[in-house]
Amino acid sequence: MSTPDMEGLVEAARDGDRTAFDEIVRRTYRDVYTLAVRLMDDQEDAGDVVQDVYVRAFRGLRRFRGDSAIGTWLYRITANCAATSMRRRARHRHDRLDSEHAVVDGRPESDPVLGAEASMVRSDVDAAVRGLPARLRAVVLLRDVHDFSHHEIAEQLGITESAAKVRLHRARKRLRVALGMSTDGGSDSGAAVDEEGSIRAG
Amino acid sequence: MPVDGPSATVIDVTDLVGGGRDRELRQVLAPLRTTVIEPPPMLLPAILARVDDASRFSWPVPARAPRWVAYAGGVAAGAAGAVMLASRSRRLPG
Repeated sequence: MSTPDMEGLVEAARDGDRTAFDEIVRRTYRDVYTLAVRLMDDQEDAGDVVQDVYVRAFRGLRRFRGDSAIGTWLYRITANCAATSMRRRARHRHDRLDSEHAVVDGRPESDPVLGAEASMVRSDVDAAVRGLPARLRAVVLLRDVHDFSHHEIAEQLGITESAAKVRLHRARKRLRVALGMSTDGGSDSGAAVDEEGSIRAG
Repeated sequence: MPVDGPSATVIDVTDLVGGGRDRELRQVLAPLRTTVIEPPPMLLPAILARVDDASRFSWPVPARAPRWVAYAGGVAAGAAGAVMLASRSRRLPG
């Protein structure tokens, strides 16, 4: 039995084929969940966000014109749902329970022995990203991991493009420090950065 | 970028950030692109159940139909309002 490609599934789902939509969910929900966990830093909240994402995707499928891959479109909805959820969570702030995420390497060339060192590096990177405040973490993940444009980040997080740039700058700086990377030639030394997107040199 | 004074020193952040250092950081973050966090087993059934609930109230319909209906409804409501206002002003004295 041949498996239909994603474009065919999207087309069928848009025409009202519920089975096709369910198959899209099956193929994409792991990636969507991964982004949601990283954005929310809480597995339970991430699960709620993922459910919201697919309900919204289901309702908005007719507006999906196929300009981007369905995965990219789902990532955009995820970023938007996570931002909404974080704003809600900020209003009802509760203590965060740290939990270990079950991490699976999706690369086919992954080797258990050679991968041990890489796995350590990955967990360091993961920890550094998780150590960022939520608003900085979201921007650096969307930009540097998922290749969103500044415009898309601003749109999905409900902030200005300038604010997105400033947050990215701050997030990258913190990550470099956390990962022990060079921060020499500091571009913002002696300068005050504000969320209007500019640096005023003293 | 040369500057003449403090008032002329507003510089976009992206101009200042070293491109090389950004590329280096992106390379360090690259493993996150291929790493998947395994969802709990109950998540997939939960998603499908939520979509089931949503589908009882709505189903994706062709994009043009509801928009066309909305435009037509708006035009009809506007026309009805205009007729009502015109007939009222005709009834007013003077």
